[in-house]
Amino acid sequence: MSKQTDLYAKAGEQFASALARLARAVERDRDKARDLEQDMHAALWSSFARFENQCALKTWVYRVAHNVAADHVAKATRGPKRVPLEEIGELPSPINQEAETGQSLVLEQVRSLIRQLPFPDSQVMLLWLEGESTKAIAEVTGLSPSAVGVRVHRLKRLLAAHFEAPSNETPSHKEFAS
Amino acid sequence: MSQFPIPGWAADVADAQFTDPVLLNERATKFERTVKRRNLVEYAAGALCLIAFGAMSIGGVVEGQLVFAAASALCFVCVLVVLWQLQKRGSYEPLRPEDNCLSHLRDQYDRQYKALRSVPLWYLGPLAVGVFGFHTAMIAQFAMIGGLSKALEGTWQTIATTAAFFGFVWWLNWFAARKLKKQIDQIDALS
Repeated sequence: MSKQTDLYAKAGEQFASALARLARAVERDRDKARDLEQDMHAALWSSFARFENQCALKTWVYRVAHNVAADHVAKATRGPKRVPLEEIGELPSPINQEAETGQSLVLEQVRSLIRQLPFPDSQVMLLWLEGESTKAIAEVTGLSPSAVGVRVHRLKRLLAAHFEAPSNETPSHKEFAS
Repeated sequence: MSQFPIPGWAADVADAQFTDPVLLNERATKFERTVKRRNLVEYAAGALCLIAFGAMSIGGVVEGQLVFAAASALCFVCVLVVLWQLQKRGSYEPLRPEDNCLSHLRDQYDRQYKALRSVPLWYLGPLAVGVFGFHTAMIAQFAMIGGLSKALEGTWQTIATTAAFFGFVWWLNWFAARKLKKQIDQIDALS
C-alpha cells in the first residue's frame, strides 16, 4: 500500500463522520452536501502526496476539509447574512421546524447557527462541536489560543442560555458550562 | 479524541466513509473536462473577435481605406493582448488547502484583490486602446472628407458613452477590491 493510500485509509477510519457532519453543517442541500464531502475527500487524497508529518494527521485533515468547505461557501451565489458570534443573541430557528423533533431539532438549530456565522467563527464552532481542544482548534484555524477561547466562551454562553430556557424540552446540556 | 459538547452530534452520520480513490480520479477527470470546456468557450469568443478584426483589416487594405485597416489591426492586437493575459492569469495556480484556515482565506482574498486591482492594466487598458484607437481613426477618416467639426458631431456621444462604460467597469472592480482589502485587514488583525 502506498503512503498516500495508507494515510487516506487511516484518515477515513478516523474522520469520515466528522467530515460528513461538517459538509452537512455548511451546506443545507443534502445532494450538494454529499458533493462537498466528496470534494473534501478528493482534496485530502491529493494533499496526502505532500504530507510529511508537518503537523498531526488530525490537524491536516481538518485544515483541508475546512478550507474546501470555506471555498464552497465562497462560491455559493446566495446564502444567509453572516453575523459574528458576539452579535448573535439567540439560536436561529431551523428552516423545517415542524418536521423536526427532539434532538434532531437541536442539531438543525445548531447547523442553522453555523451557516449564519462568518469565518472563522463557524470553523471554531464546528471543531468545538467535534470535541477538539482550544489548542487543536488554534492549530487548525490559525487563530491564537486566546482568540479561540473567547469564541468558545461565547458559544457556550449562547447555547447554555438557549437550552436552559424553561420552555425548551431538549435534553439537559450542562456540558456547555464546563 | 474527545467528548462531544452536544449529545447526538457524534451519532449523526456515524457510518460515513471516505470515497473510493478510484471514484475520486474519475471525479477529477470530470472537473478537468469542465474547466477545458469553459476555456474553450473563452478562446472561441476571442477567436471570433480576432477573425472579425482581421477580416476588417484585410478588407480595409483591399479597399484602399488604410486608416480603417490600421484601426482594425490595432483592435486585433489589443484583443490578442487581452487573450494572452487571460490565459496567463487564468492558468491553474495550485492551492495548498493544508494551510491553516486563516492563511488559506487570506490567500484567496489576496488573489482576488490583486486580480481586481489590476483589471484596468491588463483588461480595460488594452481594450480601451483598441476601442478609442478605432474611434480616432474613424474621426480622422471622416475629417478628411467633411472637416473635423463635422466628423466630431456624430461621434462624441458614442465616445462619451464608451468612456463612461469603461469608467463604470473600472469603478466596480475598484469597489470590489476595496471590500476585499477590508476583509484582508480583518484577517490580519486576527492572526
